[in-house]
Amino acid sequence: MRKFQFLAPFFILALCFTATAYSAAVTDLFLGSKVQHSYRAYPLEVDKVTASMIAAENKVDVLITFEALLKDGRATPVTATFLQNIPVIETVAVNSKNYLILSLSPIEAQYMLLMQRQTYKVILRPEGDNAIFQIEVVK
Amino acid sequence: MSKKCFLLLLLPAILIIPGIINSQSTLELKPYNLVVQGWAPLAILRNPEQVDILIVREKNGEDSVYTLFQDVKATKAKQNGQDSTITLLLPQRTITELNTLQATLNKKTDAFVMIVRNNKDDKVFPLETSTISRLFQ
Repeated sequence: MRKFQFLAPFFILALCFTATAYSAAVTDLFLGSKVQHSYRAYPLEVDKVTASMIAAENKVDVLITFEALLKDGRATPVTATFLQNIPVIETVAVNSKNYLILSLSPIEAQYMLLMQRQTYKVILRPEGDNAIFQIEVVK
Repeated sequence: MSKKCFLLLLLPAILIIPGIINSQSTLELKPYNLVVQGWAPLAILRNPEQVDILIVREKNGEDSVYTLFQDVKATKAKQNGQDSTITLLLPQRTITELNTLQATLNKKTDAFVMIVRNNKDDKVFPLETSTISRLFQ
């Protein structure tokens, strides 16, 4: 038995490595471990083309088109950049539907649910561009 | 008392006490099966997670969104044909609100969403209702 004693540290190291790898694999399965503290993971349905050009860790802007009431009472379609520089946690395809899992603050999530009932479009930002612009509403 | 005897007594205490504490903290929570037509809103629930539930309601002719529940334990969603079932662990007193949620879901599935929280984030705070007019004020 004594002649194998020199293997003990290697055995312990291998055990530690396996435990770490297992823990990392299990953690990776849970969305709750990927979302940043005080943020929420929000599933937003997108078309196939949009889903194909966006990947996890990309950043996106969300544009909304809706009917706005003018002062004279007329309704007109307007488009607004509703959210800017939103991190994508991951992309999911379920039952031939594609989703982006966005990282939103709780209040942004509320507005997202409200706005996704209108026409919306998700656009990809270039890598490294984190600037937030004041973009006027288009009508 | 010998050292061995003390350790033998200590061991069951270590094993049992956390179980008692845990069972007391979940004592008031009841499982509630929420049935949702279609799969879409539950797409992200591939594992049990801590979630917030957001709901849309019409108020004074305008859609408004508010957070119905915060930090709720939800099981992995199960799909049965066109319906999806999810079990939520909630306090008994919220069952009325849940019945309202179920009634809303039966009419319109796009009227709610479950959003996943960070698993170490258990902060619950009041959130104001969101409306389009408030956003563009």
